[in-house]
Amino acid sequence: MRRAKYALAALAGLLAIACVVVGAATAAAPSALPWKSKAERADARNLAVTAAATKVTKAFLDVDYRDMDPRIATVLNLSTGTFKNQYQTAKNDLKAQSQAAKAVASGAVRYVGIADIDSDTAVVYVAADTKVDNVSIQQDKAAGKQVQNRRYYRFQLDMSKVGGRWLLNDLQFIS
Amino acid sequence: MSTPTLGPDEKVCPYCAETIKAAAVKCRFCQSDVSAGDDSGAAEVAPRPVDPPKADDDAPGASYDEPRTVEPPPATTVLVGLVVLCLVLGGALFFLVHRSLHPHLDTAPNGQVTDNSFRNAAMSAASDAAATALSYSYQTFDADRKKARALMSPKLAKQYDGAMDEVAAQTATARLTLKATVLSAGLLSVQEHRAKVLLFVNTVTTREGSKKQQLDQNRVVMDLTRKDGGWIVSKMDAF
Repeated sequence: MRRAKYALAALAGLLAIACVVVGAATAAAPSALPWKSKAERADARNLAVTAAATKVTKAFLDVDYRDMDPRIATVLNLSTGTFKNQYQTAKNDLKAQSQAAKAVASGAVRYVGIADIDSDTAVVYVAADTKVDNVSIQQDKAAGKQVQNRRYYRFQLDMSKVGGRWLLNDLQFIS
Repeated sequence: MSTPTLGPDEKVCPYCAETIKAAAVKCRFCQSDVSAGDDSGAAEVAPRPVDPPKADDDAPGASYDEPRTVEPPPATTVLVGLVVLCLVLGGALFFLVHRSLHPHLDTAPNGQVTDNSFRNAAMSAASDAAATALSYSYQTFDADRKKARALMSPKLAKQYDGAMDEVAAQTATARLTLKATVLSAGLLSVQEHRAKVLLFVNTVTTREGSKKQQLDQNRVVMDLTRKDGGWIVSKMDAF
């Protein structure tokens, strides 16, 4: 009889502790709960798309005529569908043109805005800047001309989720 | 009158003279100690060994002669407590799961609202505000300003007034009309009470009597603040 009472009391104590733990955990950090809400999943998706769009845009704007092959490979690895096919087709021309112009450019993504998104597709707008150097700019500099070596871009990126990764499916310049 | 005779299992309490059980260690009438050691009244009754208390029976007064008071067993109290705690815990868990799965506005723990209609409303408000704030004509200059100011926070409206004061004379003299068109809008972040939107805006400037037009391709970041169920512009930067 006495043992039963102790067991019940112990159980009551455990339940009380469980109440406190669940309440405190939820009040302090709902994300600590073992399940993810719809909003949490959507927010995680937004962050993943933003990160992927930033990465592929930087890769796309990264040019160095002395070492184009790994840069082209990176862009292809981060893309799919329409864009990947186009880029695959144009990669030799791109390499040749960059070498002819002795082009060097590095991009910085200023903002990525999400316009539309669902579980496996997204439309995002990207504002990016690049600093460019090439033969033409060098000639203008040598001639004492004022040069504009900064470029300001407005892109629309269509992203697709393939195999758990968000990849660039299409890219358009907004003009 | 006859004197009551004591039974073989009875004795008389030496303190109050009431008849009690021979095995009693306490009188049920006067509560006096009448254990076997107390021989003050034991002469009348042959002492009987008192049964040792059972191991699970340690309630005070267990050897009282009187019937035991019927108390709720302590286990019952604990059980009631357990049931209450279970109900509280169950209710709390239901509330937490329900709130997590069905918030009044789809909002992540970091405050970002993921509700599509809410997000679209913010983008739509930003697009309308940008088109209004960046469009004006020499013919309707004051009305255009008034319309734009209505969409802004007081602080931004003051900055806007300063900027418009600077262009007022040139707009009138050159008879300029600026028409802004928002091509794209994307959300940088959106919370219940504020949002930040990236906008791509083209502005065409025309001069009355001239066929020439000037196109400006702008990138704008706009901060919005929730007010009266709608959005007002609190900051607007072209970059």
